[in-house]
Amino acid sequence: MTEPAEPLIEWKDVTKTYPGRDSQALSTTTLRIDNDAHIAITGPSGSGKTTALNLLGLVDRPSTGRAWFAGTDLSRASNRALTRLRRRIAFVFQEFYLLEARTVLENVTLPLIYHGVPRAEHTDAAMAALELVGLADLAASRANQLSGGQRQRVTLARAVVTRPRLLLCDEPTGSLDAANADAVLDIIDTVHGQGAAVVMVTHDPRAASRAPTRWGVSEGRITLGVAA
Amino acid sequence: MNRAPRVRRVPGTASRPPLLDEALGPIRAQPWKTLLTGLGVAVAAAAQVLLMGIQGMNESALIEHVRQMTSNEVQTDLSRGFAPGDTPWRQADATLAGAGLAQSFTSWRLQVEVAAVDTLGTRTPAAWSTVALSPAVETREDIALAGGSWDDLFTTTRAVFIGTGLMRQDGLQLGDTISVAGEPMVVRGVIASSASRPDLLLSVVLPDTVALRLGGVPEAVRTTGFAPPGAANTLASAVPTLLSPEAPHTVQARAVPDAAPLLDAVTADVATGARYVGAIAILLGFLMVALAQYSAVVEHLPAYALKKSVGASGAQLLTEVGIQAGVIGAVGGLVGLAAGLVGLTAVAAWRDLVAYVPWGLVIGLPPLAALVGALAGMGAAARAARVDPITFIRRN
Repeated sequence: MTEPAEPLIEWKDVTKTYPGRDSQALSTTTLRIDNDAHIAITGPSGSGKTTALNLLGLVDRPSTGRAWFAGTDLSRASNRALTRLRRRIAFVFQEFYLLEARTVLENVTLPLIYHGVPRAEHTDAAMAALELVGLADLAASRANQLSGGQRQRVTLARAVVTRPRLLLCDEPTGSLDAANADAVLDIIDTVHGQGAAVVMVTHDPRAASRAPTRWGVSEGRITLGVAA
Repeated sequence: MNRAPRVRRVPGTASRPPLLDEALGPIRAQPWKTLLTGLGVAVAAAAQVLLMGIQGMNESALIEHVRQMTSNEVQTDLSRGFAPGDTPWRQADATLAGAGLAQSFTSWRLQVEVAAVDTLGTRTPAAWSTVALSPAVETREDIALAGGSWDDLFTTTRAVFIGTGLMRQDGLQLGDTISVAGEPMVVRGVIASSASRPDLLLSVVLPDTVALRLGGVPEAVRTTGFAPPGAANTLASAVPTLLSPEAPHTVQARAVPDAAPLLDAVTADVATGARYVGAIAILLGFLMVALAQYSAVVEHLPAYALKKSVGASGAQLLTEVGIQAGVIGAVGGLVGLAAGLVGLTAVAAWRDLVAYVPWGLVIGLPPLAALVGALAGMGAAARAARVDPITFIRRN
């Protein structure tokens, strides 16, 4: 009998309470996210999705309970170690934030600068990511010249340029029409197919339906295995 | 397959760390904004250069004024119009003392042969300067003896004194015999220090009566003495008539500048005020950069949140904003330095003074301005480093 593979993320009795607030932003939660997970999280505004994203993205630490990322106990990890681990996670947001005055290539290159990747490798890595999202031809265009769908594809290219182990998407199709949303979801599926775990917070039933695993969040409580 | 993008590249960036490029990017993109942000440091730097430069010029002018006000040594040149031993010459000390010139004595250089004489009587010619002194030299408080007394020189037959420099330089000692114009003389004393006549420290000194007997052409015949404070110029103008009523033009007298103590005191007073103004200017420059940099960071918080979301650490953002602020400070410093130097040149031309360039400040100002800028940017840098990307981006 083979041992189960080490999960990418594991929480045991994790809670999150913010100073000055009476209630818990996130109630006691135990969960596991595998390396090949593709999870959609749904829930109303103010239900705790942002808190969950902050904790999953290692931007914040749990108030109680224990959490592991790639085998590292986060309660014992230093801030420096957390920063290193966070570089294995990529974020995609609804508002597809780009540096407007810069070119598409420069936007996609941005993570490589902070990950310490040698400059000589920047262009090749960024072009490969742009190929993946079908925007290699627009590498030299300014970000502010792109359409909404193109902008979200650039943020996806920027997210995958460092080959993350976890792609955290926050309403990635929330500002897109159906055609562009499908294109973005296709790319996310491709990234998942290339080996990254995907966790997507979404209100969009079509986006949620792409994920084999669905969780719900309500009043700070995460419910695993929500029906479609 | 990757296609080569048509991306504009900035020349010279290949060798720079990418993080440095990221820090300098906004400065390259908006150089005028950088200049405006650095204006506070520029103004402070220009104020510093101007203050120190004008202070330097003021000091030079002050030196001249103070010298005129405080000189009290009067030097009288008797080289022209008199033969050795003429009455005005012999009576100069007494005449000038009667006029209020204290510690006045007369001296001159002799052109005579001098030689060292060893125990066997062998003479070795030497190039020592020979100076004659009038007996009134014993009243001088600024000339000190290390051996012998003035009486030894003026009452002992064939006595000479030597300066302490000759002792060290040529090994002469008390009791040695030297030859002056062919006459053997014995060293009876040593002049140890002389504030107003350093030439005596490297000379063989004779009594004036001996010098007159030996003859030779006298040179640099002069009488020096001290006037009451503030009266040196007045006395100097009266000396020619006092010494030579029939031919006053043959006597030249002048006040010798020596205003160092008062000058130091006045300079310290002037400098203290300038330093306060300079420190206030630096503080204002610091605050201006701090405010400008903080508002720039707040304005660009989405960009910093984005950078953090793609993997930038707080330390990296701290470094990035710190570098930006330091460069802004350095640019402001250079601009201020240039403006200050131009201002100094203009002030010097306007006041008809020689421009004083504070070189220490010129060299130290750019790094100092960079440091001021970097420190001023720390608040902004800390704000950028603290940004929580997910919360910030979701809320904005």
